[in-house]
Amino acid sequence: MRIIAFASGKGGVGKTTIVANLGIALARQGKKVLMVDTDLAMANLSLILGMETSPITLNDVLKGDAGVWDVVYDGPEKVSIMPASLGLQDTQRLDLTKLPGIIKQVAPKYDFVLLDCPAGIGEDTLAAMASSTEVFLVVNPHSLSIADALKTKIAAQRINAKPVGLIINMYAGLKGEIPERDIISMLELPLYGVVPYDEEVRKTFYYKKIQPVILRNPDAEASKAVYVVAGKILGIEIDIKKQGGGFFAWLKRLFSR
Amino acid sequence: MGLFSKLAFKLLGIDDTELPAEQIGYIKDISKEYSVPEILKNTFGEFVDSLLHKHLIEGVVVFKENSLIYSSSPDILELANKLYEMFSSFKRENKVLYFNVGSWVSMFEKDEFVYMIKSDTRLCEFELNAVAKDIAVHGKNIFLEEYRKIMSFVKV
Ligand SMILES: Nc1ncnc2c1ncn2[C@@H]1O[C@H](COP(=O)(O)OP(=O)(O)OP(=O)(O)O)[C@@H](O)[C@H]1O
Ligand SMILES: [Mg+2]
Repeated sequence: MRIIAFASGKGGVGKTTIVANLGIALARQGKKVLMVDTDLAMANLSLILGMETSPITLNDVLKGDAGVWDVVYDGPEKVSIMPASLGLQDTQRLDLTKLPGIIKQVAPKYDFVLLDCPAGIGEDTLAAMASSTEVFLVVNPHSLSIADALKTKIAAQRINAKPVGLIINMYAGLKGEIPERDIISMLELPLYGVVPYDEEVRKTFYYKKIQPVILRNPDAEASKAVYVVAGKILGIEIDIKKQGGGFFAWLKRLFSR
Repeated sequence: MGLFSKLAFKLLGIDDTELPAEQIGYIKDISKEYSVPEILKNTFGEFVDSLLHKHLIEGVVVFKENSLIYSSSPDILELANKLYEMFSSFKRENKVLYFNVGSWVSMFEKDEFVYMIKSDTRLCEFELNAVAKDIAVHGKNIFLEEYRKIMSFVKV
């Protein structure tokens, strides 16, 4: 059982996108996966996964108003989701010190628990990292993102959490982007994959039915890159060609839009 | 890039072919200034230094069963004793008591020990727990040795 927190410091680098797609990639490899939205103030993991609003959430568990298993929902591809509240009112009175205990309680039922952290290194991010067995940093190839990731790594080490890997997201091959090897040497962590900037990712929200890119278009460059990350996490090589599902799967996707 | 913008860049002296050196320097500064040291265990002094440095704290005092068992430095003992009394009368299960005395002083009980941690900023429970854990995991023997030294000194 691995509990992985995905943190970045800087906002909007793609943590939630990576968690949602990676969770599905791992589930497709036969792993039991739970994704937890630990971004309690700005929750959106369940939205990206195309789920309906959940009546009770992790926020209610932290307030002591609901049980842990009451807030585990079924998501796409047999993944489980523990959403946070989408409302504005629900971030008050939250006892974050309960989070590690909550995660510990559900984790044994899964192979992977993926924690989608908020931006910043506030108490909420520390709570998620303290609940994890390992921390992955998600960065964009820009100095601001790398500086924030470094601060996040330091904050993690200070509370004895374990930063173990790095995912570069939104790599566009533009001038001014910091090269892969420099990012690795600045953050001193092994690289688990480079997910390119891909318009297909943004199409998650284009259609009536919201779907992460890995489901809508498994052949997209970003989807393939996520499979590479999943493979590296599992220590195996995933046959990316197989994940697309061929012509009929493509046809079906086309008409299910 | 078009010919015109190339010309403009040249005229304005903008060089966009290099990575922004200052920005990379800034990242290097962060890693130098804030890097997290290993907790050292060779001597008491080394241990305390690395502990305070790792957690960015000014001092720590530990009590057990109403007696002080270790302190990172002698000059916070008076404050510690005063606040310990207050803590004992306010104490709640699993709760941290914060005092603002210019610096922040946090007191909490964990596994039969009471920790007092002095820091510049107000630390949250995850940060405080990490200090307590580092002391419990790495510091016990070192503190005990130091404690014995003090006790033998007292006897003389
Ligand atoms: N590889 C990518 N290519 C193109 N767009 C992307 C990529 N990854 C993420 N995005 C887009 O970037 C935006 C921010 O992504 P996301 O919400 O996942 O970031 P985040 O780090 O979770 O943000 P926050 O810090 O606010 O939680 C979204 O619109 C998403 O669709
Ligand atoms: Mg997010």
